[in-house]
Amino acid sequence: MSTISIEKIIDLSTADPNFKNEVVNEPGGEHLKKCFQCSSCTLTCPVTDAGFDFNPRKIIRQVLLGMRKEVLESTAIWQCVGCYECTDRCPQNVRFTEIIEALRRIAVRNTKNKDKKKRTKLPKQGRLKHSFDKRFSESIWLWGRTWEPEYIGRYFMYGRGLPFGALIGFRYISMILGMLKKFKIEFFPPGFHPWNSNARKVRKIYKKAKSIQK
Amino acid sequence: MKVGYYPGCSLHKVAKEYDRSVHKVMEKLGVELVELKDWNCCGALEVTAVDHLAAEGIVARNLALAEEQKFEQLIAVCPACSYQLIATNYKMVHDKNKADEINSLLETPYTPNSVKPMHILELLRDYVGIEKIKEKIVPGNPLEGKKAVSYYGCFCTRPGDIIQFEDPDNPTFMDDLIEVVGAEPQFFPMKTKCCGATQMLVAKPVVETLTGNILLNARDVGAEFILLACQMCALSLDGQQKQAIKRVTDEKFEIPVLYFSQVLGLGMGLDYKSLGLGSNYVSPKKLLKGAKT
Repeated sequence: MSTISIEKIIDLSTADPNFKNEVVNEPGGEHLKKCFQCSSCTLTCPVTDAGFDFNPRKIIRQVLLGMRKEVLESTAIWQCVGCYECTDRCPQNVRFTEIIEALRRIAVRNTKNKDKKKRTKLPKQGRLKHSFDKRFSESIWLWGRTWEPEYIGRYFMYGRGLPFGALIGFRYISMILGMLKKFKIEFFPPGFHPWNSNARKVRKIYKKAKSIQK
Repeated sequence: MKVGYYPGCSLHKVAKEYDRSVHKVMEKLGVELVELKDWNCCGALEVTAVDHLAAEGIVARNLALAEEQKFEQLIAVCPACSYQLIATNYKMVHDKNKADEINSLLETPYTPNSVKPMHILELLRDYVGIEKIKEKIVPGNPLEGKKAVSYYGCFCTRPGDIIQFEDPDNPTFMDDLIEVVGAEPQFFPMKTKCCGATQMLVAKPVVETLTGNILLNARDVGAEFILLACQMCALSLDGQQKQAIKRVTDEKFEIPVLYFSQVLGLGMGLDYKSLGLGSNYVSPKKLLKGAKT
């Protein structure tokens, strides 16, 4: 006789029924409620195909059920590579790639939530990916264009927290050496000319966008 | 013909051979690429994940600059850049409120649809035409008779409703380019599968598995070289080739990865140095052996 595993049963008494509305209100998540669970996204996803723990259909179902903590603290939402294959195949135009981006933004925002019940903790891969996104953007606000050695260097340093975070850089040593060999690393900031005003203007856009969203 | 050229951050150093070969080939085809003055980064997918509105704002700034500098077409060679430019233009055309919100961030507002942003392949197909490319190809080039596969990656064709370039399931234009230089395009099922380059520095195993599967499939269909149009795909298929193959199989093999512009340049008889063939990670020397330099 098979026994029902207790962990698999979803306890809806702790679920947050408002979670789906929170996602719908986030830019990118507008089409969430159109999903009819056909699983086209999961079947076409290259990450699922390669055997990693990632299931787009499951994530959408969890959001619709209001399993807030399970979704926002899972590694799964950070596994997406953003290839838009699911968005392309979806018969209901749910645009899952944009939903993932919305979920990531919500997860990051809620790490500083004052309400302790709603506060979330990012998983390891989430912390890394968020750190990478943040350094990438900071590089743009700083130079107007990205400067790879600068932001990747900072990502390696802060990715897992100083002082040992820099050690993850060693995993990529072959790649870095390869790029050095082919002279593909830029040693000077891009657009270093004094007549290049794009960095200042880009920063202005960033500040304005931030003040609008507040 | 004069078009605006948006190089994007990685084209100046990380993929300098792509930049150089595109310029050479377009010069030969009689298209003048004028670099957009004062351009800034398009933000790729990373900025959208941090700040949604600012990401659209910085893309719209580039479009506004192109409008100001009176370009009708704005060409991006990096598919991620071209996707961002096309998507922001698309959103501003279809959503008036969004357009006003984005324009409120800019110094000079952008009139939606005044510039047509596109990827360079689209320019080659719709404005230059395959016939004109055929005229410039010289007979007896080193790639004649070689078997090749074209690899599109994600953003050249997807998401189909926004990019509106080719059939997102089976795009064929790059196969035509292979045919034009005299090589034989092979049926390639992994043509539009993602290589995972956006997670390159975060989840190495994922990227290596995805890339490895693509390379394995390319070898199985008998490809002697891979043709692509994205510098991020090149970074994982070319730069990480050894590690990726090691991850998925015990066998050892090597497939040269060339940009479509380098292949066209070889077909047109341009010299190797000007196409930057020495900068490819997997050396195409074996492939080009026997041909005159």
